[in-house]
Amino acid sequence: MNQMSDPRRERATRIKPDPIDPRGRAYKVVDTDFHFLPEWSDLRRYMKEPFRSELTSYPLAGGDYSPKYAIGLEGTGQETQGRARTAADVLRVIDDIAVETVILTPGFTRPQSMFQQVMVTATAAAYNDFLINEVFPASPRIKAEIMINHRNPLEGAAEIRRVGRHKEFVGVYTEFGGNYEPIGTARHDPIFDEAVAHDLVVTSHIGMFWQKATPLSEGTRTWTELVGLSSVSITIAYVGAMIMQGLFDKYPGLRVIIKEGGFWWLPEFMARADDYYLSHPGDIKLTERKLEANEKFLAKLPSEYFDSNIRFSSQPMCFPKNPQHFKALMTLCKGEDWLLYSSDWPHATFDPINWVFNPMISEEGRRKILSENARGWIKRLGS
Amino acid sequence: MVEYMIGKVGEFRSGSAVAIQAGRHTIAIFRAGDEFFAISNACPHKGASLCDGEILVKERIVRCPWHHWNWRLDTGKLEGDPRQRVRTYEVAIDGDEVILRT
Repeated sequence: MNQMSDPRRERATRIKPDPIDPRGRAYKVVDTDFHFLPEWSDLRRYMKEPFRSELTSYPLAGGDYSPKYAIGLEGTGQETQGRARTAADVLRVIDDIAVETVILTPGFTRPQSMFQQVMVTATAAAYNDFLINEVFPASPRIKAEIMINHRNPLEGAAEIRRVGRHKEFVGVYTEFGGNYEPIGTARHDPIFDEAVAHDLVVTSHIGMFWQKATPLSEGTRTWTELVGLSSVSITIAYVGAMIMQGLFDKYPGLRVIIKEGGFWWLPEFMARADDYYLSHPGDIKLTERKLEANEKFLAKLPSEYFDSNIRFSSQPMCFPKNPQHFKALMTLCKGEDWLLYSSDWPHATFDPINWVFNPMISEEGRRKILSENARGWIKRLGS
Repeated sequence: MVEYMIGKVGEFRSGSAVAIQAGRHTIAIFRAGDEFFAISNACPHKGASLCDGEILVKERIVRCPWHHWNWRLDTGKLEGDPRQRVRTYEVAIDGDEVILRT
């Protein structure tokens, strides 16, 4: 028997909610970290022999710890939101997530942690050529970072020289977290020479063998320790090497972006580095760049290099419980000036634009974080 | 209190969800087995749409599609920290109609 619906009841309207804050579409958002993962067969077409014949799949990366134990999903946690294989995929996704201009970063498993460095070099060149030939022509909204073998600075520099004339490349991609020297040490100067010569930012993104291959993480057991926390410690060490070993005194125009290494640690870093430096500056002159320049000290206090040389991508934005604490951190870390929005799509740590509409962020701050900071910092993006 | 007619029971299969607009509230309606649940649709973490999350029927949990925060459908509590919760709403079955009360 059919029942008549109670006429006093309202009929609910079924909807398909868009979880992306619609206000974001007015800001010409720049996403500074969006992972692109072409089919290996597409990259292979750009490989030279003998690699084309020998490398029938992405070279393996060492030392993975599966996040499936932490998030209950099979796989690496790197495709939880999907996968962008082509320019068309990228354009579809960035329309969905309210991004105007995207900067692609390599999506495959931690390029620098491929054991065999020659394979890293070959993979990087094929990836860059695929972008040049099949991705950039699709839309001016798509930019990218040059993938290099940063563990071999001469080869890394050569790759920047080879493809750096293509203006759609806006930066150079490097990683932190493996058991290799921090990118800030002097052995990497060939890379910085080319980056500066080509007006490219240098980015340092969380990588592999991840942190577990370093003594810092000896004894860790959980994803939170490995990825959430140890990455912060590694980042501090990397930024410390850049500043204390005179990277920005040798390259005052160099612009760096730290990705996924956190930033709430900045107040501690700045105060502590300044204090230690002023109390113990004697070994500054014993570093490679200072020996080369015959200089005894840094040109300015360690804390003063952030304004001139370092920015941070925003993901993952982790909120303190107390909104006033968030506001204080944003002030202490100059968040409205030093943060560049990033989504990290499609990883398990995907961070859409919504958080920027937190009431503790000013309207001017929203414009800066979502768009203006990136357009001002990354010269090749323009304003 | 306002009552909304969501649909017929048979329109919902176990393990599915829909979102509705009820006044100014966006609410996700879930069916888990023979039971229906209603919670606020926006994940408090980063704003994902919970009606798009994976539904663990036996556990009565929806997993946020963005960061996998597990919300209990019956209490609205977060599995990893039950002090946090999303708003829950009353769902009733009247004949073959699914009714939401706000």
